[in-house]
Parts: sequence; structure tokens; C-alpha cells
Amino acid sequence: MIEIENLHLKAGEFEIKVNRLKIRKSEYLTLMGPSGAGKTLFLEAIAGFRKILKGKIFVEGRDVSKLPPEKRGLAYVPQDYALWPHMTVYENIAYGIKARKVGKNEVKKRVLEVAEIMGIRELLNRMPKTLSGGEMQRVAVARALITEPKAVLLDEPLSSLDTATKNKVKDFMKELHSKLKFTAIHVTHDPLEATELGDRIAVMIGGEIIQVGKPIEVLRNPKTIEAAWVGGIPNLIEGIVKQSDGEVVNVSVGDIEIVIAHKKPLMQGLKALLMLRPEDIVLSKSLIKTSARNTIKCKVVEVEDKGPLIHVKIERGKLNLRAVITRGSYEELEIKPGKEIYASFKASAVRVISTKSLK
Amino acid sequence: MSEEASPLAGAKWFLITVSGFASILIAFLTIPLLFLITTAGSEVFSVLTNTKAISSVLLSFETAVASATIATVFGVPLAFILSRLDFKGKSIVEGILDLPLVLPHTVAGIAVLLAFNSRAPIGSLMTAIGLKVEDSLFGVILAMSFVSSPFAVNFARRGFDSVDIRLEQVARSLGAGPARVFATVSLPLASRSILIGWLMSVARAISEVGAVMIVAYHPTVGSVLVYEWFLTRGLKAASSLSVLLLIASLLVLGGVRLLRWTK
Repeated sequence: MIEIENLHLKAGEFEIKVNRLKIRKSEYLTLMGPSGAGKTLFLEAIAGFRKILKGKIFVEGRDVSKLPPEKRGLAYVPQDYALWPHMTVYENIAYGIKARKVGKNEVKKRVLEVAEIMGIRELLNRMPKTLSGGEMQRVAVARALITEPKAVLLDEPLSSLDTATKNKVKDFMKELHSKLKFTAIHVTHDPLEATELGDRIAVMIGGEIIQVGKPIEVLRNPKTIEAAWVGGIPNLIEGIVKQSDGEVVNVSVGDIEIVIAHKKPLMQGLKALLMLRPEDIVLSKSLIKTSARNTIKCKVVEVEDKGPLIHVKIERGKLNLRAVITRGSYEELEIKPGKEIYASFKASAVRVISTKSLK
Repeated sequence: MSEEASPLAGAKWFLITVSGFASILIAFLTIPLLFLITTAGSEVFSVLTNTKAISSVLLSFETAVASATIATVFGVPLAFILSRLDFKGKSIVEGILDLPLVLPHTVAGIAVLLAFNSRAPIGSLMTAIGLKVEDSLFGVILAMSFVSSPFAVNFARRGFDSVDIRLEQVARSLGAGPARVFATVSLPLASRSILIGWLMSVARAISEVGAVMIVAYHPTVGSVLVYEWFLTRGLKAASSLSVLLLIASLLVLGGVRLLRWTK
């Protein structure tokens, strides 16, 4: 378990302030945020590479904030893995327990054990520069886990991998974590990665942690616009509340009206900022029967090909939306700029970020 | 076969001009050495039987190796500090390291002699434990160390600079203390540069005349003997001994090249 209290540190002009963050034992926490949010600095502070100005870091109840890195009982895995190029894979993995003065036979036994779990036994005599990205990642994780750390600190461990390898490694890390139950803080800027791997997600922006919660909570109920932006690029819609009936609210956006679900009634005439995730929009050629309360005829403005997923920009009057569809439906719908198309989304998919009176 | 795109494609006249200037410099550097070799001619072989000449060249080697080793032993820690830490006065330390490179070598010799002669405070202490500077082997080594240590430090520093600090950080986080990390990660990874620095220090020490001559003319090392023969026996005799020193220097430089190639 790791607990952070009132942590304050500075790197040049940039400041990190984290009031409270608790990572439970065996929990896999993903620390998500855009580039420059201070995620790496924060991780380095926990690892002991950066001096903190104020605050405390507890590792299983012990205050480690003034201890050097080697006495904190944590294991750091940097972005590019930093395997020691002059040592074999075996020597890399054995390093941490050798430093703990473990006997030679015991070292061998444990290296073989970890290598077996990580599926890298056949790599033990290789030099790091001969390994693929995915293999390097496994060696780096093996090197960390063999020391039985109180927590593993992973800094963007998947960012240098190609997409196919990344997915494999993600699956592997999930499996590994459910098997070994190690505690981990995993820094990433990728919302997908954070969601897939994290038991919980902590969102960091501008050196502060603005939200911590289960992935679904963070992605569906972002506390601020920044948190929403971190969780992918959502649609932000400005409208005016027309009518509020129980949990159903009608909001007008230019000449169209959209229906949203909101727990509290909203005052008529309020200006509302709404958020709609691109993947919650369904596109169709014609009007289809759907449970979605909103179906709007739009025009395709732009099509962005992003590999397996296609981003489609659509508009209708003042309403500009971005939808994400699969390549399959893209081909089926024959989407191209200028084409008319129907966009449907559920009332519950729209979130009210803020409201203010119109003056 | 495709060639790599060159930024100078189609720049024929420019290339000819630039190459012209470059060739003149190369010629300026090599022609004197060719003259040296042809002037010495068969005399080189007679030098090989001259015990004074041979022992002076061997002494050059021994003292150069000793001074380069001293410079490396003390220079590597300094290089590590300069590479890893920022501190007040760092640029002053760097400036001090540049001094031996720009100082006239006779001036360096006089400074070393003033500081460490057997009547000076530090020198008298050193003399008391048998390390007399004037006209001694130790004096030769000391003078050589003074002029060659910047090479040891600068190359070692380049070596440490090229070691990603993440490699050290990971080792720390996995339980190794700073000394262990230095010995098992930083030092081995910088070792090639340190070795090159050591070789460059050896080469620099072999070539030193001014400082050595002033601090300890005797025992006479190769470079000093060349000067002595030039004054007493003339150009031809001096050139034959020079060729031996040239070969010695080329051997050391060959070692440096080899280390760089095999990287």
C-alpha cells in the first residue's frame, strides 16, 4: 500500500501538488494525464529520484519520503525500460536480488522462476540490444518483480511499442497482475490503456490529481472538462435548457433540440455545457428503430482515418459532433464528406458538465 | 546501387574549392612527417643500438603510462561529479581543467616546480616521504600528469555523459546503493571512453617537453633527448630519434582508433 499526503515538489517553474492519494495493496492504479501534466515527475518523486519540498510518502505504513531510492522497497520501470546494455538478460534480472546479497544458487533459482512466469526463459543468455520491444518490456518487468517490491512504478511502459505488441503486452500485464497481485502505479497518457489496465484511474492535470475512481466512473463522469478531455476527445456541446421534466431535460442547440437525462431538474433558460463521447454516437444511412432518444439528420464534414477506427465529423446547424465508427460500418455506410447521415445517441450518454444563467 | 542523398549534390565547384583548402591543411600536417622519416632514413637503425636513445624512449613510455594512470584514477571521480552534478563553481572547475591545455608548457613546468619543489611547503612534505620532484622520475611523472590530466577527465566525462541516468536510477530503485551502481553500471558503461582518455593521456605525456624539462631534465625522457640531440648533434641525429617517438605516438593513436572502431 502506498499513501501520499500533501506532496509538494517543484521542477523549475512547474509544481506538483497532491493532497492525498492512496494506492491499495495489490491494486493496479493507472495515472493518466496529458503530456506535461507532471505524471513522470510525480512517479520519480515516489521512487525517490526527486527531492520533495513538503509532504509524506508512506509505503506500507513506513514514511519513506526521506529515504534514498534503494531503501524504499519500490521498483521503477522507466519508459524505455533502461535494460543495462552490458549485461545479459539473466544478469539484468538477477541484479536486484544480488544487490540484496542473496546466495548464488538462490539467485539462479529465482531468476529461472521469474523467467518462467514471464515466458522469457529462452532469452536469458541474450544481450538486451538483440531483444524486440515486447521482449524488453517483459525483461524490465521481470527485473522489477524479482525483488518482490512493495509496488512497481511503471512510467509509460507501453508507449514505445507498436499497436499489435501493445495489445499483447496489455493482455499479458493484466494476466500477470491477476496472478501475482502486485501493487502498481502505471503512468500513461493513453485513456484506453488506463481503462483496460487500471483497477482505478487517477487523472493528473497541471501537477494535480483531479479525480480518482474506477475507469468507468472517470470516463463516464469526468469531474471537470479537463478530465473529460483526458479521457479521449469528447464532444462538447453548448445549449440552452428549454424544458425540464423529472430526469429528462430538453436542450436546444441552435434550431435543434436534444434530449438528455439529468438527475436534477434544470432551470429553463440556463446555458448548459454538455459532453458526449464520440463512441456513444451511432451513425446510420436511414432512420432506424432505436432506443436512443436523439436522432439527428447531419451532414458529414470530414472523415479521419485512424487505423481500425474512423473518426467522422458531422454537423447540423450549430451542432458539431465527432463520432467514432469501425472500419466495417464506415465501408457499409459509404461515408464521405457532404453525405447526409443520421446520428443517434441515448439521452443518458449526454453529460452535463456545467450550467450557468444566461445573461 | 543507390547512393545516399547528399546535401552537396550538384555543388561541383563549391566542392572543388572546399576540398582545395582541406587538402592544403592535410599536406601541411603530413609533409613534415614525411621529411622527418626520409631525413632520418637508415639512421633510425643506428638509433636502435644506442642504449641512451632506447632507454629514454622506454622511460617516456613508462612515465607516460604512470602519469596517465594517476590522471585517470583521480580524473574519473572528477569526471563523474562534473557529469552528474550541478554545483556552484562548476564552470570554474571546468576552467581549471582547460588551463593545462592553453598554458605554455614551460609555464606549466615552472608552476609545478614552484609548488612542489623540495623547499616549498607541500614539496618538503613530499620529499620527506621520498617523493622528491627535482630531477627525479617522480618529477617527470608529476609534470606529465599536470599536462595530460585534462584528457583523462574530459574523455571520462564524455563517457559518463553518454550513460543514460535512467540506467542508474533503475539500479538504485532495485536496491543498489550509489557505490554499487557506480561500480556495476556507470563505470563499465563509461569504460571505453575512460580507456580512450587514458590512451590520449599517455600520448599527450609522451609528447610533453617543456614542463618535463623544467621540472626534471633528468632522468631524460625521449622528447627531451630529441631536443638535447637537436642542440648538440644537429637535425639529422635528432630526426632519427624523432622517428622512434613518432612510431610510439602512432601506436598509441592506433589503440585509440581500434577502441573507437570496435564500438
